[in-house]
Formats: sequence, C-alpha cells, structure tokens
Amino acid sequence: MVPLQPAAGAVVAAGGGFAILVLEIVGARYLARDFGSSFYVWVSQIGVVMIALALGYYVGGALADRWQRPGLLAWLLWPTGVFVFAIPWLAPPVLEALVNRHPPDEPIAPIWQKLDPALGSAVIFLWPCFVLAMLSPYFIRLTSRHLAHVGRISGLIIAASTVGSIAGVFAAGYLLVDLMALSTIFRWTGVGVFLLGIACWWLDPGATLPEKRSLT
Amino acid sequence: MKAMRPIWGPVWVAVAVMIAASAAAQVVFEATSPYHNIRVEDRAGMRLLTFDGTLQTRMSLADPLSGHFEYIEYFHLPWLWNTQVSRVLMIGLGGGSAQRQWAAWYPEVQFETVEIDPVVVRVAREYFGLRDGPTQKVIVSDGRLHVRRSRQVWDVVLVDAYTENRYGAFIPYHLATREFFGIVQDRLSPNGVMAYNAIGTLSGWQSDVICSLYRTMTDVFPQVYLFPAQSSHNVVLIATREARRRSRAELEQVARHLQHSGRIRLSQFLTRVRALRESVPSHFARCGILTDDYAPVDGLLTRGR
Repeated sequence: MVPLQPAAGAVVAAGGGFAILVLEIVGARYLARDFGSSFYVWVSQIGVVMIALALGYYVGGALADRWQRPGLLAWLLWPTGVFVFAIPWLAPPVLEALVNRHPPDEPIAPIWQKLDPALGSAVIFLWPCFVLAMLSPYFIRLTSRHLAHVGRISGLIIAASTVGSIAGVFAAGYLLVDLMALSTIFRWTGVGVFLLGIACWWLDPGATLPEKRSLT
Repeated sequence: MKAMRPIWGPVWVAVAVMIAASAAAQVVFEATSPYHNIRVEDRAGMRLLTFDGTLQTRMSLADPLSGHFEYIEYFHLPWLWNTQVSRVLMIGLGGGSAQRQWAAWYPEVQFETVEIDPVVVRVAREYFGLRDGPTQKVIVSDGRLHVRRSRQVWDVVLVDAYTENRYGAFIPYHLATREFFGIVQDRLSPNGVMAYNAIGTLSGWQSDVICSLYRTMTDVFPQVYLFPAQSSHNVVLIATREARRRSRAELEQVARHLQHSGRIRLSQFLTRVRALRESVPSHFARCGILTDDYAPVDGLLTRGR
C-alpha cells in the first residue's frame, strides 16, 4: 500500500484554497444585491471568511489527530459541495428575511447596517469555508511521517493552499465574474468541492492507520 | 456626482493650462472616507469636488446655481413627461448640483436624496450649500437598499451613481440590472420617469455599457430615450412608464410650453431637449441585458468600446 504523499495533500489543500477565495469574492458581489455595495459588505465578507478559516484550522487539526483518515473529510466535503451547489436557491429567502425584518420606510439602525451583511455572509459562507479550511491541517497531519519533516511538510501544504487561494481570487475577480452568471459560479464551485471529497475518499486507502505510524 | 470627460480641443487645453497656472488652487477640505479620497478646492472662482483625483462637481462661488456640468441639466427633462412632479428621489449626491437647482427652482417639490458615503453628505452641507429642510432630505444608505425598503411613490427617480477615477469609470453593478430597474418602476407613479446618468458614448468609448444599460432598461420600461451630452462623455437615459413614444418635435413643443409658463427656468432647456438621439445605433441590438445573476459591468467598462 502506497503511503499518502505530501504532494497529494498539497494538491487537495490548493483546491480547497481556490474554492474558499472564489466563494469570498463572488460572495461579496452576490451580497450586494441585498445589502448594497456598502463598505461593510466587504468588511463582513472578509471577516466571516477569516472566522471560518480560524475555526476550520483548529477543528481540522483536532479531527486529524483523532481520525487519521482522509475518508472523514469526504463525508464533510460531499454535503458541503451540495450546499454550495444549492446557494442560488437557498440564499435568496434567507437574505430577504434578514433585510425585511426591519420595518420599511425607516432607516436601519447603524449597528445593523454593519452587522446585517456579516450575518448574511455567515449564513451562506461560514460553513463551506470552515470545512474547506480543515484540509490544510488535516493533510499536514496525515502526510507527516517524521517529526523532522513537519516543518517542510506544513510549509508545503500551507503554501499550496495559499497558492490555490491566490489563483482563486484572481480567477474569480478577473475572469469568472465577467464570463459566468453568479449562480453558475456557485454551482461549479459546489461541483469542485464535491470532487475534492471524492479525492479524499480515493486517497483514503493510502493513509496509514494510527497504530502503524510513528511520529517521532 | 460624476465627473465628465471634457472633449477639449488643443486650444482649450492651452487655455486650461493658463488658467490653472494663473489661479492657484486652494484646498479647503480633504478627507478619506471608506469610499473615496475626497477633496474640495477653490480655483479661479470655482469650487471643485474631486473623488480620488477626478472632478465630480463644479460650482461657481459667485453664483452657486451655475458652473455645474452639462449633464446635470438633463435631470430637468422628466418635467416633459410629468408636468405635475411633486416627489423626487435622487440616488447619488456628490456636490449636490441637482439638489441646489431643484431647491431653487421647484421649492414645493419633495426632494429626497440617498447617498452611500456619510463624508460626501457632510461635504455637500458644509461646502456646497446643501440645505436640509421640509422639502430637502438626505439619507445615508445604499441606493438600491433604500428604494427596495421604501413604500413611497415617486414621480421622478434620478440616478447619478457612477464614479470615475484615473483607471476608468465604475458603475455599481446592482444599480444597473433588470431587477433594480424593476424595483424603481414599481416605486414610480403611473406617469413616473427615471433619468439615469451614465458615462460613455453612443458608438465609441464605453458604448458597450451604454447599450447594455439601454437594452436592460427597455426590457423593463415601455420607453427609453437617449440624451448624449454635447460637452462631455455622458449619456443621460430617460425611461418612462408612459407607453407612447414621443417625437422630438412633440417634446420641444412641451418644452416651450413649460418655459413660457415659467415652470422651467433653465435657460438651456430647449437645447437639452434637442440633444435627443431619436434613432438607436444599430450595434445596440448586439448588447446583452444585465441581471443580478450576470452583470459583467467591470469587464464591459474595461473593454473600452
């Protein structure tokens, strides 16, 4: 049985990084329809994605110690892919309810002008970005065979995830928004997240079982 | 409010350089808001408002009702379709050129402005003579959000939300889609009119944006009229709920009547009416309709044509 290679982990983490930034950029544009193009929409979107990353890194690392199999990620990524695919149907009623809970013809309180976009962004983007952020710490744990190599492997995987994010931000902002409908971009991103789940499932047999590994 | 791109001939460039050299600009205010670097300066008897280094508003210090850009005058055209205007909403404040004129010439009209940038509102009040009163109201909010959440009915909606900087013109995409125009139409009175300032030309620079806007508006409103400005690269699009198409001759006749009755005091009113472009350029048929789901305004704008 071939052990799980750091390069394979780097590729999956890069895919996750790409998807996170596509969701962030396209999501900010999507939110403008309901919350306007206010400065707070961008602030919210960046803040919510950073919260998702922090939670995803922490929980992903903890899960990796407990279940050292990428198959677990597949079970998280598949429903997330379906969720992202369904954003064009799921999000509008939720966002509308958020805006419409304020009485019409009266200004929205300054606090809600700031927080509403963050709530809207959290409802749609917190979960998928949280799951996608788990990939980096998870694969660092799964592909580190010797303590002496943890530095290099964690560097490789974090860098790969960031390179994926860089590609995602420019692809989304420079190309996708001009070439495709927002709903189409969400659906393709959903398909991509689902495929990352399949990759994790496919890599699962290569992962060594906990008792056989020696992280010394 | 948008700056315009003056079509200077070489002579005018020379004159402009001389004026600039002889009259030292005095910066009276500068601040950076979440949206722009905002500057107010006085130069050669004019008060200027710039966002990120490009001119948005020009006002004569001696006569605040003059010195404005040509396109502002097209915002009086809705009177041609509705001679009983009593409630107006304007999206985008800038230096308040339109607000000053409407307050001076039609003091009985309820004029509401929605502006996204609170610093712009402060600047308009302190440096451009914007007066809040029973008929002049300014709300700090996103324009689309305000229209959508409002249950009011307006006779006229004026949209001036473009911004421009050294890198080009920018249009907030959510103020250019079929869904947005649908919300506006829904809030207009039965013979209501929308006037929309856009930066571009009918067949050259940025005409892709103008024709996409035109096609999108015609998808919602029964009639859309094109008024290209003569001294700058602005096109004002007028969309009416009235289903009947009016000819230029007919509009000129109404304009003369409005001037005779004293309703319209703008001296160049008839000239502005005559700017109507009656035949739509043939390439407009190729442009797509902008929707919330797909509105590549940034791509259209940077493509140039």
